[in-house]
Amino acid sequence: MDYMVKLENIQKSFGDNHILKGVELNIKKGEVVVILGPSGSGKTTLLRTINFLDAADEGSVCVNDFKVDAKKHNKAQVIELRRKTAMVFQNYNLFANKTILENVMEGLVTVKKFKKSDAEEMSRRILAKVGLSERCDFYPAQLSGGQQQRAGIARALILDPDVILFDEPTSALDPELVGEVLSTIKNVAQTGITMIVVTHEIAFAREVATRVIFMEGGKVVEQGPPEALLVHPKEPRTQQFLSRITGISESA
Amino acid sequence: MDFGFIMEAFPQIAAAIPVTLLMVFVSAGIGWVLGLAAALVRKNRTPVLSQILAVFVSFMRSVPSVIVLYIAYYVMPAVIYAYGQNIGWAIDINAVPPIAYAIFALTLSQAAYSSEVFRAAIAAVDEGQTEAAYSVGMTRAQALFRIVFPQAFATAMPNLGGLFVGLIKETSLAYYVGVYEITAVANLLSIPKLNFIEAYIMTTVVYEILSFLFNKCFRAGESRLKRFRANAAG
Ligand SMILES: Nc1ncnc2c1ncn2[C@@H]1O[C@H](COP(=O)(O)OP(=O)(O)OP(=O)(O)O)[C@@H](O)[C@H]1O
Ligand SMILES: [Mg+2]
Repeated sequence: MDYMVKLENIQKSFGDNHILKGVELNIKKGEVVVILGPSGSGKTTLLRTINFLDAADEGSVCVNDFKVDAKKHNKAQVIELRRKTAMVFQNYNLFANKTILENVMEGLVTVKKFKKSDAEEMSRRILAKVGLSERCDFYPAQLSGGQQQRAGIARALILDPDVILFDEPTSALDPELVGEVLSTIKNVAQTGITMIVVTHEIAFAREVATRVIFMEGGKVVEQGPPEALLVHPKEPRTQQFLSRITGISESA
Repeated sequence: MDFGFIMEAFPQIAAAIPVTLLMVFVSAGIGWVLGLAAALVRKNRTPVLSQILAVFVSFMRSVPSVIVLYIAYYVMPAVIYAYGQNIGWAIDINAVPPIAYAIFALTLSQAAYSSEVFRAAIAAVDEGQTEAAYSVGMTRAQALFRIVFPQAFATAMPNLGGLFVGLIKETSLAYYVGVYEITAVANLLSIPKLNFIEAYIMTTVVYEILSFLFNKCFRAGESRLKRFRANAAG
């Protein structure tokens, strides 16, 4: 198959709340897909169904030819799928009881069974790339939000996943720290790894994304290359949303 | 104050310390493991089992320890005996030493109390920690043992310390079922010449010293486990 990520008819409800209403998505290797959409449209939920932090009620998730059916999945499949993906969280979610270095090593040692010395060497190298060489032995609580999020990116990257899922990676940050994290993500994108990024950073989307998706009400409303979708959206709902978040009316 | 009595009795009381500590370590050791397991069952809302445990915990917390001890001492042998007959096996109830019943009762009470401590401590660990562990591909057991428990134990430590020191004192109840621990020995020695005041002073001093020492241990453990919290140095 030529797609790295393939979502088919993803349906998800919480109680009576029908959140995802049949999402279809095909993503090629190396694509950087940015998902936009109003609050409550199901962006986070969609990312979480991809690595089964929330199992979808219906549909299937396929990552690098490994397909899991939402309706009949088992633990082993879920673990396998999670080992093909990695996630960067809005609140960083670094392991609070581990140092930055240990946070990055953890997946290699515990999950991939690397030798500790090898894992440490690789982790130090990747932490240097995100500018955290000096902070290896600090605990997360001792770092700024921007530093924590860069460590979160390193923790995801080191597992060499087929796709990295970013859920609003900069929205919990103080404004002056957003830039450092976005430029780290940009560097990651340039390595050719497949990424799905939920964000409200339009400038970032325009510069880094290969495709932008607009979601609303649990459905993909419109998608296309960044220029087309962000500058000349076809759907009125996309236009409304964009004018609201950029604060200027595109049509005026 | 009869100093002669004190000089004579103190070594014998001190010699009973290992009996007290045996009860403490075995009951806390087994009880806390059970308590942790119970906390997990209740966290997962495992049907039936978690309701049974909720009833058990509230029962243990509302009934005085001495009653639990009496139940263990008077009721259990009859149950075991009847069970033995049922499977055609003559169990000699008198061969079971009293300390076994005391440990049994204390273990159950430690399980009940510690399960509440662990439950609160586990609930205090952010759900995002588990999700992050899953996102890097960890199994449920790996996430619990490597990420959740270390954080929960740091939170639980002060309460576990309190539970432990309370347990040291509670072992004195074993006197009622004939275990020769610190309180029992002191009391028995004081009877012939009515040296009750001296005996009480000595037991107080011994319990006080034990509590002090273990308190220190838990404090040290706590600061070690909490080194990852903010401002921990570095
Ligand atoms: N665990 C849950 N239980 C019940 N409802 C949930 C749960 N998770 C999400 N929801 C609901 O699902 C809807 C979509 O939530 P989701 O977090 O996916 O939206 P979002 O697009 O990420 O929004 P935001 O931009 O605010 O992050 C919301 O109405 C939310 O209340
Ligand atoms: Mg969200």
